[in-house]
Amino acid sequence: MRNPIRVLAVDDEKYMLNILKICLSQPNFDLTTCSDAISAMSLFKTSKFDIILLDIVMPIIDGFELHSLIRNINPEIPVIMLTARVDDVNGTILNQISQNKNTYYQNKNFKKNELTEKIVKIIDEKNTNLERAKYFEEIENDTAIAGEAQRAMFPNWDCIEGGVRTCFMYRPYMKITGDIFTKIQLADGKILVMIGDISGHGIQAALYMGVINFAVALCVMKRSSSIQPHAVLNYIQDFCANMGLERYMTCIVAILDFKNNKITFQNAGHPDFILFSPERGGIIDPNPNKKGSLPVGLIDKTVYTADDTETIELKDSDILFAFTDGLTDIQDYAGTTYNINPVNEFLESFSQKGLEAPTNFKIIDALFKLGFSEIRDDIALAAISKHEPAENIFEYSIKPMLSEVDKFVQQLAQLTAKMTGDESIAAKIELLCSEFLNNIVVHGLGNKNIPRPIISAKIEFREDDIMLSFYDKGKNWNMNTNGIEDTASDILNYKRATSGRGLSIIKKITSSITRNRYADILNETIFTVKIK
Amino acid sequence: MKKEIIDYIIEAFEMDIEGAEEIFGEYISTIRENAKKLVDSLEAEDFKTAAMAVHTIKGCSLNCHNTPMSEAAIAADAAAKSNDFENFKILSSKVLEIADSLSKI
Repeated sequence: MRNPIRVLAVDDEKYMLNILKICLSQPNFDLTTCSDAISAMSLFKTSKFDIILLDIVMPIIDGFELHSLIRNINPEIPVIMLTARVDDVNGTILNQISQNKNTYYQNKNFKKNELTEKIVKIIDEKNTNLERAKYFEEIENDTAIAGEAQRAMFPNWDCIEGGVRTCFMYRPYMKITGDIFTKIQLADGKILVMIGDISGHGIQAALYMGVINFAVALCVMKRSSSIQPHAVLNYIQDFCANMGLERYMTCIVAILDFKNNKITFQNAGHPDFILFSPERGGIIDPNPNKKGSLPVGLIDKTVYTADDTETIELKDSDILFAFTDGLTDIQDYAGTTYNINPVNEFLESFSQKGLEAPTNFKIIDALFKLGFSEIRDDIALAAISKHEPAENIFEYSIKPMLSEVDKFVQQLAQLTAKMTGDESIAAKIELLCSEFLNNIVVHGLGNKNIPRPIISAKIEFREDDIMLSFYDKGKNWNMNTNGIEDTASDILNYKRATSGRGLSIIKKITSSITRNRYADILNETIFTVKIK
Repeated sequence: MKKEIIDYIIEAFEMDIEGAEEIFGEYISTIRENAKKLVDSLEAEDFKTAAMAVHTIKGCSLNCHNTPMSEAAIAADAAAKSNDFENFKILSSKVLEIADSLSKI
C-alpha cells in the first residue's frame, strides 16, 4: 500500500476548500488546507508535501506570486493551479503555467474523480521519472566505470617493446567503445596487431570487444609463433559463432616483423592501413593488390585463407597508421564529413620527424581545431613504427605509482651522471623529475581505484642542455609557456604538493617550460635544463 | 434550481443527500456574502473588490454547476478584466438578480 499523497491546498474561498476536503478525504490523501499565501509559505517551509493545489485569484498575494515563491524553494514539487478563468481565450494563464514543467492547470468545474485521478497521475509520473532518472544515473555511472575498466584491455597508449613503438588513442562515441586494438608480442619476436570495429557502438559493442580480445589472446596461446592472420580470423569467426554472437566486425590482423622489415596482414572489410614511408616519398598504398576478405561474423561459415593475405616490405623509418572509420566520420558543425585524403596530409605533416608519443593526439587535436569535432562513431588511431632512438635519446613508460616514479627517477639520475659526467646536474634532474612526477601521480591522474594510464617520458641529452618531455593523461593544467611565475602555483598544485617544494625547485632547475594539451586528453610538458 | 445543484453535487462529489445539502448551504452562504460585497463595493466604486466578489461567485458556481449564475458571472468578470466598468455594472446587476433569487431558496 502506498503512502498517502501529502497535499497542500491554498484557496481564499471557504467553499472551495470544503469541496477539496470532500474530494480528498480518502486514505490515499493527507490534505492540509490554508486560505492565504503567507500561511501557505509557512506550512510549505515547515512541512513536507507531495503536491500543492493553488488558487490563482487571491487577495494580497495571488497564486502566481505564491507559485514563484514556492518555485524559488522547490523547482520540482508538482503544483496544480486552480482557476475559474474559463474565459482564458488568449491562453494567458496556460502560457504562464506551461513555462514550468512541474506546474499544471485545473479548472474549478472539476468533479471528484477528475481531481483525484489527476493528482495520482501527476504523482505517479513524477515517481516514475525519479526512478527513471535514478536508473539512468546508475547506468551512466556503470558505463563510466566500465569505460575506465575497458582502458585496461587496450595496450598502454604509448608502448615501446621489442624495438617497436606503438602509440594508441581512442575516443569512444559514448563512454565506452566498440573499437578494438590488440598488440601481442609473439614468441619469435614478431608482433601480432589487430585493429577492429564492432558493428554498432555502446555497451553491447564494448562487451563484444572484450570477448573478441579474449578470443585473440586464446588463439595466440594455442598457436604461438606459427600464427598467421587468416588463422586468427578463422579462430575469431568460430569462437563468436560458437557463442552465438550476432554482431560482425571489420578488422585487420597483422603480423609485424620489424627484424626483417615485413608486415603480413589480412584485411577483413576494414579501412586499410595508412603507410607513411619517408624513404619512399610519403604515403604509399599498403595494399596495392587490394587483397582482403569479408568482415568477421558477417556471413556464417566464412573461411579465411592465406590467399587473401598480403605481405609488404617496410623501411626502417616507416610508420603504419591503423584506424577505425570513426576517424573519417568526424564532422564539423555543419555536418560536413572529413575524408581520408586530408587525414593523410595530416599524418604526413605530423610524421616528418618520425613517430613521437603525441602524434595521434596531435592529429585528432588538429582536426578538432579545424572545427571537425562532432564525433559520430568510436574513433581508434594507432601508430606503429620501428623504435631505434639516437644514442642521446632515452624513452620510458612510467607506471603511475609513486614507487615506480622513485625507481625511474633514480635510474634517470644515474643515466644523467653517466651522460654528462656531472653529479650536480644528475641531482637537479632527480629533484625536478621527482617533484613533477609525484605531483602528476598524486594530483593529476585522479582515482586510484581504476586503471590509470602510464606517463611517457623522453630524455634528450644535447650539447648545451637536457630536454625532458613528459606526456600524461591527467587533468588539464592549462599552463601557458611563459606563465609559470604567475600561474604555476595553482596549476602545479604547489599548495597541495606533498613536499611543498615543487614549484621553487622546478623554477630553479629549468631554463624553460613548455606546456600543451592535445585533443583534450594528453598533457605535454617539456623542461629544458642547462648543462653549461 | 436547488434540486439540480444538489443532484450535481451528489454525482460530482460522490456525496449523500445530507452532505450535498450541507455543501449547497455553504454555496448559498458564499453567494450571499459575495453579493453583499459586490453591492457595497459598487456603491463605493471600488471595482477591484467588486471584481473579486464576482470572480468568487463565478468559481463557486462553476464548481457546483449553477450554469445561469456562472454564465452571468463569467460575463461580468470579462467586463471587469477589460476595465469596462459601465458594462461591468450592468452585468453585475444580473449576477445580483440571480443571487437574490438563490437567497430566497
